[in-house]
Amino acid sequence: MADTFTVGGAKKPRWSVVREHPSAAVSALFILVLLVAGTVLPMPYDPRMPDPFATLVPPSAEHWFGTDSSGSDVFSRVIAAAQVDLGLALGGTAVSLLVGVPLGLLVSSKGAWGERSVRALDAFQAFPLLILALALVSLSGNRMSMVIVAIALINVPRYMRLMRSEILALRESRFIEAAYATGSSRLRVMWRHLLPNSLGVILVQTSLTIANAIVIIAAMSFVGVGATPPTPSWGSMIRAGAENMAFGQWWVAVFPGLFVFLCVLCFNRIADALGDITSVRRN
Amino acid sequence: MPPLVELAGVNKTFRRPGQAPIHALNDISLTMNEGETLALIGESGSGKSTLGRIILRLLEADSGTVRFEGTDLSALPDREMRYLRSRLQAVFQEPYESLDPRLSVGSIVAEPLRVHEPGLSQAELRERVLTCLEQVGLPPDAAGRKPGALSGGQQQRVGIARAIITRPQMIVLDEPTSSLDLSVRAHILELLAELQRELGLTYLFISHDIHTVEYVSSRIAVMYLGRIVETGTVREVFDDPRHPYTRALLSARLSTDPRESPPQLRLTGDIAAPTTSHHGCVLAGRCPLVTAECTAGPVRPRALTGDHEVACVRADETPDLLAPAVSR
Repeated sequence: MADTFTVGGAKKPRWSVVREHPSAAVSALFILVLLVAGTVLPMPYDPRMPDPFATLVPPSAEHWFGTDSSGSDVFSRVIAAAQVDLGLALGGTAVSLLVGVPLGLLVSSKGAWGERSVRALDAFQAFPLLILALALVSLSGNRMSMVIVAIALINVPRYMRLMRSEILALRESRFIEAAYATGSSRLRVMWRHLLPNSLGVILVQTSLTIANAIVIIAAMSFVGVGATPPTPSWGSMIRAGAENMAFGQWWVAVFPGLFVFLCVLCFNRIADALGDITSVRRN
Repeated sequence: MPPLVELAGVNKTFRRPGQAPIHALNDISLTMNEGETLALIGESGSGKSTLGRIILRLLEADSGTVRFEGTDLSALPDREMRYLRSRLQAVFQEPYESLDPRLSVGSIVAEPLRVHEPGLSQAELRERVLTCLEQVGLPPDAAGRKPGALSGGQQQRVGIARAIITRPQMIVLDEPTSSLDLSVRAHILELLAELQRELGLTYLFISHDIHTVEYVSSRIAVMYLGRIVETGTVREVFDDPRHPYTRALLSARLSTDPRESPPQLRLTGDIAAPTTSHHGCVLAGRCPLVTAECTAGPVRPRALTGDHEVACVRADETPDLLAPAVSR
C-alpha cells in the first residue's frame, strides 16, 4: 500500500539488501540465468538430437558434461530441462499461492467452523499426497497442466495451515485490538494489518514450496510421470543415467542430480534471506 | 447534565472449556462526567482492564448496560459502533505492541482518519497528521519512521496521537505509563493533562500505581476482584479511605513527608482466585474487621457524604476501628 509518509532517506537503497545477503543474491542470479539460458544463450548441441557416433562420451572440452547412452549432449539437456522443471515448479507454486492464501484467510476464523476445516485438512494431508499426485498425472495421460494441479494439491493445504496459524497469532496482537478500537472494520484489519504482517512468512513459504516442487517434479519424472523423454527433465535424466552408474558412467545421472540439488539449495538460501529481510527489527 | 458514561449492573465471566470460569466483573455500576478523569485502580487481576475493554466494546458484557452519551453500546449494530469509535478512543499499556510494526508513524496516526473521514485528500490527511504529531510533541520527521525506530516514550506519543486525531470526547487510558521509565512517565502524564485542557477530553485512567492516580485524576474507583469497592473524589478516597481494601492499598503508599506515618492496615493471606464466587464481601476472607454480616449476603456500594460510595458494611465505623493502627 502506498505510504504517504515515507520520506526519501527512510528507505534503504536496494544494493544494501544484496550486500547483506550475498548468497541469496547469487542464488537468485543463478536461477534467473537457468531460466533464460535455454532460450537466450546458444547451446553447444541440440538437446533432443541423439548422436549414435558419440554415445556415453565422458566429460571433455567438446561435451562439458559428457553424453548419454543415445549420444545427446548432457550439458545441453540439463540446461534445456531447467526451463521445463523450473517452469512447472514456479507454475505449481503460483497456483498453490493464489488458491492457498485466500482459502487460508477463510479458515482463519476463530470459531468452530475454522476448527472443523483444519480437521478436514488433517484428514486430507494424512493421505499420501505424492501418490495421489502421481496417480492424478498418470491417469490424465501425462498432461503437463496436471503436474501443476498435483503440485497445488500438495501445497494448498500447507499454505492454508500456515495462514491460519499466522493470522490466529497476529489476531492476539495488541495492535490488532488497537485497530478495532479506532473503528476499523474486519475487512480493513485484514487488508491493512493481517495480510501485510503475514507477507514475510508467505514469501518464505513460497520459496520453500518452489524448492519442494522441484524435488517432487524430479521424483515424478524419475518414475516416468509428467515430463518424460524426449522432453528433457532432470528426473528422467537421472533415471536414464542410473542404469549407466553401475558401469562407471557417472556423468549421465550426476549432472542433472547436481542441478536439482543446486536449485533446492538456492531457493532455501533465498527463503532464508527473505525471512531476514521481512522480519521487523526493533530499534 | 447527563453523565457521559454510565454503567449499570455490568457482569463479565470468562468461560473456558474444561476449566473453572473466571468472574472478571461483578455487578459494576459507574458513572463518568464530561471533562473529568476517573482513575480505575486495583491490583492486576482485579478486572480494571476488562472493564476498560467493555466500555470500548472490545469485549461484550454478559449482562448490564453500558451507555455512552446516552446510547446503549451493547444494543448498537457493529457499523454504528464503528462510527461511534471516533468519539471514544483508547491508548494501551504496551506502546510498541499496540502499533503496527510495518506501518510508518504517519500511516498509523492517519489510520483513524482514513476510517472515519474517508473524504479527506492526501494533502489534508498529511496536514492533519503533522498537526497532530506536533500536538503530542513529536518532530515532523517522525512521520516517516517505523515505530521500532522510536523510544518507548515516543511510541506512546504516537499511540496518543492516534487516539486524539478524530477529536474524541473520551479516551480510555489503559495503564498508559506503566511500561515507561519514571522520567518519561512524567512527560507523558503532563502531555495527557495538557491535551485534556485543550481538547476537553474525558479520561478513564486505568492504573495500579496510586502515586500516578493521585496526580492525574479527579475521581477514583477502587477495584478488587471484579468489584468496585470504593469510589469518590481523590481527596475523599485518599484522605478518608473507608473500605479496608482501600486502606491497605494506601498503606503501601510512601509519603514524601517523613514525619507523616501512613495509616497502617495489613490484610491477611493472599488475594483469592478469580475463579471463586463470593456470596458476601469479596474481602471477607482477608479483612481484619470481618463480622458475620460480611458473609451473610452481597455487600453493595452505598453512599456516604458527597460523592463517596463504599461497599463495606462497616464503612461508618472504619476510621475509629482503624485509628489504633494508625497511632501504632
